[in-house]
Amino acid sequence: MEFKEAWPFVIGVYMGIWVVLLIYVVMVQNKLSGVKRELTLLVKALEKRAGS
Amino acid sequence: MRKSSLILASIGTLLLLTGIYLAFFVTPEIVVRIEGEEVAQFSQKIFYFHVPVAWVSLLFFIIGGIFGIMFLIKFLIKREQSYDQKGYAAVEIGFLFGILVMITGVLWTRADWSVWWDWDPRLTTYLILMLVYAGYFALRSSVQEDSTKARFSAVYAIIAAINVPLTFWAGRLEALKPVHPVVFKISGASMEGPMLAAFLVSMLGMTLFAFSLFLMRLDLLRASEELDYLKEQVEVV
Repeated sequence: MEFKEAWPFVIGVYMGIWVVLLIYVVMVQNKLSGVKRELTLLVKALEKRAGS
Repeated sequence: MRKSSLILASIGTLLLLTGIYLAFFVTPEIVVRIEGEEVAQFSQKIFYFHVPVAWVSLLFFIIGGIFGIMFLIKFLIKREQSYDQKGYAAVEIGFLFGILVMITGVLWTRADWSVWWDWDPRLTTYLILMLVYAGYFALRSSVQEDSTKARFSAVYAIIAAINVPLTFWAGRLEALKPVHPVVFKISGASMEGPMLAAFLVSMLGMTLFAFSLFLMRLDLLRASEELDYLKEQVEVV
């Protein structure tokens, strides 16, 4: 397929891959920071309880 | 994000961007003769990302199977479950890239063969492979007890990984009359120079990027497990 017909497919493939991978990275990092935040809070609460 | 993961992602991204530059601005366009007329195949550019994505998906399915074997060995000897998370992360990355293979493959099929789908041996076996791995996630979510889930998943990942060589060879067996192109044969690669360079750069970039994703996912799984453990301890206290 020549350029004028093929470009939407080619661009779709290249953009699609980047978009999907980027969404995955953001999703994992977002979840990870949430879990780490919760972990820190929990550890602090446990330390407080142990101290009192 | 841990340092190793960041380094892998950065190098991978740089290589992938180089791969895109080489694919679009350096490699020559393939020209085919259709009804006596020479037609440039711009759609062939999809190849430089579609194949690396497919390679990564198959690689991580195999890695998932290897982690499954390692899990079972460790579990039988020491009752340890350390490889379960690694296996799960590997299969998830393989599946993510597998979805990308399906999407890019369908687009390429439409561009080159003017159809959205063809029951070619490679396409069909890959679809079966994806359905088998979809079953892996269904299995994991259906088992509640952690140890049982880990054991079942390891066995399933090993059995599912057997499909990988089947998918690989399905496109190479002449008896099945495959339509899907095969670039690398025993006799060598059917491309050279800038095309081979663009392809290899993209392959390496995609592989490094996938390993960075694997490490990120593993970090999340470990942190979640730690959190669950602490929550349990709090409830006990």
